[in-house]
Amino acid sequence: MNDRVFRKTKFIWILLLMICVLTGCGKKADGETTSMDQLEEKGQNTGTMVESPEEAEVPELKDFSDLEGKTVSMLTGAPFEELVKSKAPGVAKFTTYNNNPDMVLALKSGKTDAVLSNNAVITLAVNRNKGIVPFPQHLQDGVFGFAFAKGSPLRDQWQAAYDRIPEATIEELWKKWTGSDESRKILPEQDWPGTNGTVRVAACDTLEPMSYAGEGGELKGFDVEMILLLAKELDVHVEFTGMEFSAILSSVQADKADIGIGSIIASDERRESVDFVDYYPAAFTLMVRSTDSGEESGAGFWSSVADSFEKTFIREDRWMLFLEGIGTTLLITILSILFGTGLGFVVFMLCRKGNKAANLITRFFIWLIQGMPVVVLLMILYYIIFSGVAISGTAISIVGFTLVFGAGVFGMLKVAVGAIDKGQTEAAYALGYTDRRAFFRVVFPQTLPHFMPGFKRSITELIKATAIVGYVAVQDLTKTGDLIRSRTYEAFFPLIAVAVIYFILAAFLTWIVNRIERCVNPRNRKRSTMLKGVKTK
Amino acid sequence: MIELKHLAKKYENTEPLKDVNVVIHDGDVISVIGPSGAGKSTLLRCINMLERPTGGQILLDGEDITARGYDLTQARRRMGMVFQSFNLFGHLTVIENLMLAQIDILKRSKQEAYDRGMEFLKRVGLSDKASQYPDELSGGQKQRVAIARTLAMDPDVILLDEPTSALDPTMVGEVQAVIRDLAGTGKTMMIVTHEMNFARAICNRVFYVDEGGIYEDGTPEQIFDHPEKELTRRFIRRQKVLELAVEGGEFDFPGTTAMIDTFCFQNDVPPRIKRRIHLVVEELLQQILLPALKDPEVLISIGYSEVETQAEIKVLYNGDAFDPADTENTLSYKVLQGIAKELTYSSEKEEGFTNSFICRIMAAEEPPARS
Repeated sequence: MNDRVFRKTKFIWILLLMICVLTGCGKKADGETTSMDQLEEKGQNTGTMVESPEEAEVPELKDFSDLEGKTVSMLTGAPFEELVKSKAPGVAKFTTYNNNPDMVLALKSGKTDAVLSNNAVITLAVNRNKGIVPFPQHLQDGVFGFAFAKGSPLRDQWQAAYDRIPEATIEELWKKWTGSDESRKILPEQDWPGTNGTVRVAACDTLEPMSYAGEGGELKGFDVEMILLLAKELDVHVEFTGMEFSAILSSVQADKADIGIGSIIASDERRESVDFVDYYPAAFTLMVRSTDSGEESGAGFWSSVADSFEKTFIREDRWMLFLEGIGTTLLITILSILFGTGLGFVVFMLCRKGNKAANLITRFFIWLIQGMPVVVLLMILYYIIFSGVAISGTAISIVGFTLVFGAGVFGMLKVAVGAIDKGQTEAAYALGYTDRRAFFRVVFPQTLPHFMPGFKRSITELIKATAIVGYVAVQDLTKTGDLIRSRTYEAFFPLIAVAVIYFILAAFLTWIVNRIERCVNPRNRKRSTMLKGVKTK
Repeated sequence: MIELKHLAKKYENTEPLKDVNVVIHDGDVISVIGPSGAGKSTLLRCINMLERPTGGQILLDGEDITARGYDLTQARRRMGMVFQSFNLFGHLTVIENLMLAQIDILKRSKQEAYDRGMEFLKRVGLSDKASQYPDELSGGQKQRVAIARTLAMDPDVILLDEPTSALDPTMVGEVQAVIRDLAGTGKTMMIVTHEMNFARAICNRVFYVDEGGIYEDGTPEQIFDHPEKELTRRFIRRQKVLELAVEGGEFDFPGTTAMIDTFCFQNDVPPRIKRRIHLVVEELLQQILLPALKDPEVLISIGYSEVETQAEIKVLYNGDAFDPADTENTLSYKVLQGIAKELTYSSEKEEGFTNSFICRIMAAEEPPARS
């Protein structure tokens, strides 16, 4: 196939795609502004169970038979397919998402027809979004629980503390967090002495309203405030760690955390692996679109873009979150580059003289590291190898990417040094150089032109690869984009901003490496400085 | 003084050096010649241990440099080496190439290294190229820089491994001039080369390397003018030999013809001589000898000397004494007489055969031009 034609068509496709995204965003933004404004008037309609808003919107799907041939979505790891099928056997397809905001987005954009969730999430979503209503029927009633490691003595203490809290206080908190009044959603300070120590709490950071990250990245929500309430009762301080929902139970089991929270419904299956303190009634139900899809607003395209820009970056200083995410991504990337380059070099020097044992071990580890997806490597490091060690996800990410980058550097060094003619070493030997000095004075300076192109490429690859550190509870740039997406219920600006920032960061790092390369490449020295200090007559 | 004792080098598949014993005196200028693949370069590279010998000893002024734990850098400092492929350091300029080892190894000051470097660059006629990079030079210039780099280290011995083989023919002269100049300084030198005339002009001793060792060792006059041993003689005369054995009554004539053709093609034998070789083999073997011998066992060796453009066909055969001149097939013998410059029969025993017959062929004079 003609390469040039292919490239041209590819370019056109990308252009088309971008236009689609832009127009799609505009429309969505229109609907959003109106519904957000109206939220304030809806008032509090939060019983223990989900209720329809006062101005009754009519659900598209009214009972289980309407689910015939539809798609139902739920969180990854939520084991409720059988439950849905038992009530509505006609469901055509199940899809899973990593967080609730994504599911609400999917429901609004028609990617799914019904979202299975708990009463808390659905109450909040319905209060906030015009066009989304609760499904009139419940699938199952249950209870929310705080997860403790199996047999943990802490559980009984916390259960006792819970029993001392009056029910009305809990009900008040529930209303506060599932309502749409954002200004009330503030956590109390941990101003008690904390004489009984500190507990580590693993909390999902995307499950609004139960447990989610606020504007400054701090965790808040109904579950979080409940924990603080109980902690005050027990006089202990709490240290929260935010992570994906799917990581919470494993964190508790791996003793990374004492308590796991985040809208965990205490199912029988989960009770097999952890113990629970039950604290609030839960119900599994669905939310669906209403027949009234929300009226179109008259606002222009550009004003809606400006509005969504404002929401993504300006409101509540969200650009600070981006800055922090960039900081974390850069920290992980740069340290991994430095350590990885060092590691690759040291290992190369050990293997250079053909020591059989060293080579065998190295080959084995490189095979191991390069043979699995980096995300799996990170999770193995986090949940298995360092499971009992108090070490942050960021540090583990640096360890993981150092290994990956080091393996790459080792390979590139091997190729680069192999590309240098053997005659260079022989000439150095013949002049009386030792093996080591011959390498550093003659061979190594000449490897740079062979080494640098690959090195620069791997740096760009590395910075992109770090986007997966969210899996080990690190809030990097990609994770920041996710968080902001979950606050604004919009995909466009957070995603495009994250992509653009990655481009800029990669360009920036490449620029730095180019500068370094220019300084260290012997062929770039100025002729006037070569013979510094020598009288040349 | 360098002394090689039972030096051997063995690779997985070949054994270029089997048992080398020789003494190289101070001031010797030695040319190492021999067919390719005979181990000339291996011998040279073993002397400064770029190839580690698999057996024997190398004594440099009485010290065994092959001994375990011997600091090789000490020995190599005293033996400069010039490579076929120059091996200039690509990341350094010409003058830096000369200075690097002086500073690193001999601990000379930068200024001293520069001055010495420039001195030797001048000597090889390249002081104006001091600040250029090696890849900006021609092959001949590169090799001259490489020689200067070696000289700047003040070695006692200089080893040159085919210094002109990688060069364009037009550049061979400039490098040879530098080496010739060097040979006059009294430094011990050992040079592997294919340029016989050049070797002869500069050296006072010649090693002919073949069959896993120094096959013949002598002055240039001895080796080039009066070689004593067969292989040396063939090499000096650039003589190529094809040996064919015929056993039993069956003689594969077409096969033999093809082998002779290949041999002639590979060695640039002129067509006129080639035709005559064919003719001799046909008449002598097929017409005269094979019919006459009862139980033929014949060894034919066809030798061709490039230098003299003459071929020698030597036929050894068994049986009772039989001079082809006595053949009944007088016509065939007349043909032989017609094309050979010389026919010699001998019934002395040679290599286990009872008869030998030699037929020497020269390229015939050009036929008279038609007028």
